[in-house]
Amino acid sequence: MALISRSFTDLSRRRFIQGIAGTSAVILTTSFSGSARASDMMPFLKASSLLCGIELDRSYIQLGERIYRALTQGATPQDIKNWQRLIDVLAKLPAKTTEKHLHQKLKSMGPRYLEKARLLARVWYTGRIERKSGASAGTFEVITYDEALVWQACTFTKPPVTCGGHFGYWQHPYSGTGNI
Amino acid sequence: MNDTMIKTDIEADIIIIGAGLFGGLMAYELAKKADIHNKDLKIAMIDSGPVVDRVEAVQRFKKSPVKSGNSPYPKEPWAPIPSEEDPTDYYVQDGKGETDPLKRVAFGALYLRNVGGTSWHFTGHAERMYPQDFKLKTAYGRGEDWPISYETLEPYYARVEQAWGVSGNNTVVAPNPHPYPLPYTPLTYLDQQVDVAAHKLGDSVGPMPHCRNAVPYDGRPQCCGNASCRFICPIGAKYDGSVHVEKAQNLGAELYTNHVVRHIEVGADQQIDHIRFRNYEDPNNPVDGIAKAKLFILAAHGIESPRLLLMSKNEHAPHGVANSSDQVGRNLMSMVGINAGGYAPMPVYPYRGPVNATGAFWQLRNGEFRKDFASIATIIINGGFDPTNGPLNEADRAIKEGRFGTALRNQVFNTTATQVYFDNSVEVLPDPENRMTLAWDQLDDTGLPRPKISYKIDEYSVEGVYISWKRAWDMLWALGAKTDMYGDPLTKPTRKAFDAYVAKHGIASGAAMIAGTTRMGNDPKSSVVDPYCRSHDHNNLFIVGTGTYVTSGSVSPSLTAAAISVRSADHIFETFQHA
Repeated sequence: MALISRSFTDLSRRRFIQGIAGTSAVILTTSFSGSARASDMMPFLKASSLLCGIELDRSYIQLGERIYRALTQGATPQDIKNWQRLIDVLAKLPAKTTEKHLHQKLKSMGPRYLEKARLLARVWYTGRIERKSGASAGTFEVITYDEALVWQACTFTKPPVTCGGHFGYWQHPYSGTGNI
Repeated sequence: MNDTMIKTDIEADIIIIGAGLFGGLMAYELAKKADIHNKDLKIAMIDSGPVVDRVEAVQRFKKSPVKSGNSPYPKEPWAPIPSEEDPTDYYVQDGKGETDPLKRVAFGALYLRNVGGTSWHFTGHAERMYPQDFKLKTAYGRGEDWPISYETLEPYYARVEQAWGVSGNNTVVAPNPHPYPLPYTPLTYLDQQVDVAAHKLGDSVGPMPHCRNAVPYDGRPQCCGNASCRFICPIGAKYDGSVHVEKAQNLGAELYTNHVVRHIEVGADQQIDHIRFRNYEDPNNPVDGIAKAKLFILAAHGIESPRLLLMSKNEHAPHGVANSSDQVGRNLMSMVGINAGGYAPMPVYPYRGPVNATGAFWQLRNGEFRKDFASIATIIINGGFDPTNGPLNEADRAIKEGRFGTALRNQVFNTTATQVYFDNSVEVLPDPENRMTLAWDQLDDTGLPRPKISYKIDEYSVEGVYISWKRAWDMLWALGAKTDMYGDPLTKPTRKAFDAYVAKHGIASGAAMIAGTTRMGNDPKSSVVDPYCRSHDHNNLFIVGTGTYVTSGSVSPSLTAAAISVRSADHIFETFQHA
């Protein structure tokens, strides 16, 4: 039988484009554009860490750039300013900010910022982004699959088509440090 | 494998149309026998698709947003196939919206057209049919009997198990008097947790036989549980048809890729004289050619084989090739079912180990109950609700529900680690009105008619679907699940609820089996091929694959068709020896 869950079916109804988004042309006017120094990306990574609950250190700079480019592809100058404001505000919050406090902060900034925060977390976790406007409207781009944060959250598994371990490891319960 | 020849005309002793699981194995068996007996036997394999590059296939899979069965593989316009997302992009099936399964079942069986064929993304389950599957009418008063028995096929099963490197022990499927060549593939932790619940219901979970290497075998590495690996095994630990295509080439067989056979020409003597193909090796400059041989083997699976036979009408075969019985394309069978999933109250850790399953339920596969309802194969999916994007979908849902930070991470972990998903496959009986015909008013990109499908099931199978659906839900309750896979509270699996579900959604066919469309039999009036897979109408044409099945059973279909193919290859070689 085909394995099609509800969410998968919803996804498959839309059109798709294939390929890595990092090569697409983008307009970047922020301080951490294509030739970014590592320090320019740190606020973005800090804000992302807060939203995702996973620490994103300097090894994520390259992926962070690709995600930011995908988020701001085709964005208006005002929209880019909004992104910048969100990142600046989140980056200044303490690392141990609770989910409740985060919601309060985003609520105080306005609904568009809550949606942006959700989108940012979603792209980091899934490695894909849905295009809502323009010629690619209704399509998904895969920015990364293996590096999507969902695989870090699900410590008991690995991205599909990645060697899991020695033969038969699967018969034993996961013994790592899960969060359940 | 990459040194594919480009020719306009081909000549050989034996031409095999379709270099997939069965065509490749037959090419190897014939070439090996010729080598052993020092006989000059020229074999050519012709396939409509390309050679698959495993590394490229893995990359293609990772880049694809929809990671379905066909995602890793090239899709060539000259070799169209149904997609998992919408099979009707190739199949033509009327009656969309009809949910009564006694009138229409949406047909969604999948296949690939490339070297190695559909086995590139098959489950790797190498199950034998039960002895009673071959005499369903005699044993249970249902369906029909085959013209061959389990006992006839048993030594060929054993040969294929050796060739593929099958691992197993006392599996949930038919008892095997020969030991499997490889040690068994262990049950996952998930299987073991389900087994505890199954015992509460008087059932239990046992291991499946696999053609994925439990130890290094035949030059291929040991499986390392590349969850979720069903759609592409990145290391070749899982057997696929390209293995024996390459072995056949090493023994001198020729391979022609991207050659689409468009017509089989029957002569006045009812022999196959030649076939006509179009060579797409240079896609911008396709070249037409003909291929001649003493004997032809058609091994293009359950849709493309009858499609080609029906397309090939001429004055000597006015109803199509091998179709004097009018049975080509009829008796189409593909198992049906409704799957079920929910969240266990404790982590069971899916997404680990070989996908799609290592464990299955022992009960309801074979027994006296088959007098009343169809055989059922229920397996426990190691890949959760969606073997490739399942965890991503959980992340989507958690974010939609407002999760951020550590709460987000924990929810994604918890919901993914507790997924339990049961896949139900239910037997379908042969029905001449279930058939594949040609949609001459809807052509593919090369001007050939797309396959038109008529498909429904009877009450025998509907009852099997209900019993399997109920068992899956009972199993979720026994596990202590509180919510189903959509996050809704788990409900009781009553007949009323089942009927309401079917009335709303219908019952869909599975993806795994396409059978019956070139059925085997002793009577030329009611079958297409004889027990050796030789066309009743044309002495020099053999048609192999699951299309030869008389009944479907509920086990994974490939091993039986492979055993039948090897038996056929032995018979063909003996014929050549004595010619």
